Amino acid sequence: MRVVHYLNQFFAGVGGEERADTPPASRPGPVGPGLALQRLLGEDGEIIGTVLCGDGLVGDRPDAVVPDIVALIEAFAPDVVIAGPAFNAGRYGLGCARVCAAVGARLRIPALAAMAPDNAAVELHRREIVIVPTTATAIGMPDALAAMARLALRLGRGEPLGPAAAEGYVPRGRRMNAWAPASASERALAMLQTRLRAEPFTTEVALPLYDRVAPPPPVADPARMRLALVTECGLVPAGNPDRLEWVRASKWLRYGLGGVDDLARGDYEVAHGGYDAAFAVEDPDRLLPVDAVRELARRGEIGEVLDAYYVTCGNHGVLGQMATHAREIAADLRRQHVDSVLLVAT
Amino acid sequence: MAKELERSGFPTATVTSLAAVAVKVGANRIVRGDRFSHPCGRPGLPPAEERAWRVELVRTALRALATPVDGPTVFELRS
Amino acid sequence: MRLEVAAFAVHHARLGAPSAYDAGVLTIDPDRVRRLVLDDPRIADVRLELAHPGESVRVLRALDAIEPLHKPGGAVSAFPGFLGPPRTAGHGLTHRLAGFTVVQVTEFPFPASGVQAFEEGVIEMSGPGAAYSGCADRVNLFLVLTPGRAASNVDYDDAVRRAALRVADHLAALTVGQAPEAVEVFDHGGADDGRRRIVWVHQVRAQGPMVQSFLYGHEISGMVPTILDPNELLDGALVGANYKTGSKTPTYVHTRHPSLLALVARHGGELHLAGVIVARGHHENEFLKERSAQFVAKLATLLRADGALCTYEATGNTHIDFMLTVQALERAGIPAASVVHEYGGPLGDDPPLVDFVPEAIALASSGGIDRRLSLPVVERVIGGERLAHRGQPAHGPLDLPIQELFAATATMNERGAIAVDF
Repeated sequence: MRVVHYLNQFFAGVGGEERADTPPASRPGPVGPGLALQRLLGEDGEIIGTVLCGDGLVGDRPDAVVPDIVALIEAFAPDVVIAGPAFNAGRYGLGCARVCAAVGARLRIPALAAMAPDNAAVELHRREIVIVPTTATAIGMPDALAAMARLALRLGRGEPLGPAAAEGYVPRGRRMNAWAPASASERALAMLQTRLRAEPFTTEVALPLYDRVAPPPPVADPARMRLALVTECGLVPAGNPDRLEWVRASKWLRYGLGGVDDLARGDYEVAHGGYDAAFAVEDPDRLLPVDAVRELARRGEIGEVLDAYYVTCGNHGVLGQMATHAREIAADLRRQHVDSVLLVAT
Repeated sequence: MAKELERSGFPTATVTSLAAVAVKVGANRIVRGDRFSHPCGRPGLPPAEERAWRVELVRTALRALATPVDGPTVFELRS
Repeated sequence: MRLEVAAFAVHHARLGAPSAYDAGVLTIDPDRVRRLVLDDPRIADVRLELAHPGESVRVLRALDAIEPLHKPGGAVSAFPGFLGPPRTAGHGLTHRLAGFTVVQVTEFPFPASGVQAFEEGVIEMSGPGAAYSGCADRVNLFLVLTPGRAASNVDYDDAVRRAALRVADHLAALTVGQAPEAVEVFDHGGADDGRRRIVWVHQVRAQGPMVQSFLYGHEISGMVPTILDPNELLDGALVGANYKTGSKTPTYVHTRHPSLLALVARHGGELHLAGVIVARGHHENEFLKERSAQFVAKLATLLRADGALCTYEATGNTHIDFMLTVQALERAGIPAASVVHEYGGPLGDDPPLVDFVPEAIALASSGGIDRRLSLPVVERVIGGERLAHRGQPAHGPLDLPIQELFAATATMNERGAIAVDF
């Protein structure tokens, strides 16, 4: 198996931070940590070439240098590319990740990088590329190289990788179903008993980290803004003419309000399977406060109200899809010159 | 959807019966509505009073839209 | 309370007269069953269908599935509140037809929308769906029912439930006087002798009609959390009436829940099973969710629990009720470990749960329910020509998310499904 190793200027022996602007270059055979890596690959793989680049260039100006790096790699005609280990070096980690992503996308050659799990490059790139977790510093070099060699051979042979924990790579953001030898209840009980013995345990479902969105600046004066109404509550015209699904909706819709002062009983129904729709059917303003918004517009407390509303169904919504819907609605809101939104959420 | 609308630059007042969840998820301008099946309604009130309550609810949303916030903030109706 | 459950396994069922149980074979007299069912004019007609594991059979419009129980003697009944007065069950002797279920298959007579609308939960007796489908690993009698003079869907639902329970009782009673292949003894009284006291928190769906659970014969949408002896569940005190797709807990799971079985197996050894706390989920607002969560924590404290094993039924905003409950338990000083079923989208790259609390640090996964299955063409379909909420032809092939298989979440727990990071 033909292997190419990517390194930064430091591990390639060119120099330290003062040489961070070293342009992309290649060397035949293994260099620096590549020598130990070659011993670990043994007969199964040969590092036919090493490609290096300064951290400053690949970290700060990737568009300028990544294509050149990829061309140098391509010239070796490798079966697999290994980058790093970068440990906790931020620009080196980014460099490794970007090179691996480009090699995968443009050359369609399997590639893997290695770095510490809290290297900034991990959260940015773990979904695109395979990353082997390492210690924070080079003290973990031997273990890192061993893991890199093992996984590189598997990737080079075209073998699909199993679960992250078993194979030793950073989870790439997909959770797949498997079968365990005991019921989930049994496993939960075992976890509970371990906790009660004050022993360490591992949860099977990790808690998420919700990202923060910077709040948009406030409207200067509601009396002069153009407001739009959006609802996740599945409120649709009677008959559900566009067949909005009441669970895991695949679309969003915009319906004109026809200038009405409030939503009338009988004109609307609910396409949402998660709550009792009787109250909303009786008075749809309970899901979309058109009557109140119109009144406040008449009193001059709201500048203008878009004479249409946007709807999807938030019941069991696939969250990635809901975000896509929201972005598309936002694009439409921009076209309608809307300033602000009143969103009724489930 | 609130965060994506905010990410696209629209000040958004989110009316929800589950304000604590909205805070956790990170919507920035949150208005506490009534129950899950009627967040903008109070069916127990006589119609005229319910309508007045709903006007106050929307006024609270306007206040939220006009208020600078640093992070998830819950706006309650003033009684 | 001391309960003995005598198990009579069913390997095969057939129609014939008279009804009889003999060495694993159940003979079912169709005329007898028809008389039992049609005794109630709210049901106009019934047809009997049988299915065994491995057959190329797909079933639609399935409501609940009940493993038959019968208590000889008559002083106390199984499924108390339905088959007899609501007297405390969970003691004495119960006969159980193990590995067999009675299933109602029917459309509702009146239109319904929102949460009251029926959502298909397909039963797959073979093929790739069988691993995720309730009833696939057991012998099933399907009562294919036609509505009669019912005043409402709720009225019809009551008729349908009682009819299935009458049939189940008739069949389980066939074993009276025979020697069982196994007898389990359940007795959770007595001192804990220093063993760790564990409670099972069983959050069920009881939101209203069609998404309901029954305790001693009455629906529990207005119930604050309560305490049961584990034996009461084994005797059918809790009956499922939740008709939402894969996330429902059918009655045969309430009577033999994997959490209950895991705990009773260790009672008196590694742990002391201190009680079962049953609570409803899907509360309408945060006030009621928090109120219920606080009750659960208080009851667990009154039971002097050292730990809580927690499970829940259904999906969506009931995650919030559940997580608030876990939070309340942890804050009350009672460590919890929970089973959660995950969303994750069709590719597994969406967030797994709707809601978390920082205290939910011990979670077991029963797998992702959004992943899709390709189900093949089948030879026989029971219950309809087209899927109820999507309209595809029932014979297949079908492309469905796992959560549209009958009782998928409970089945996945039982079978050991788990979602792992890739």
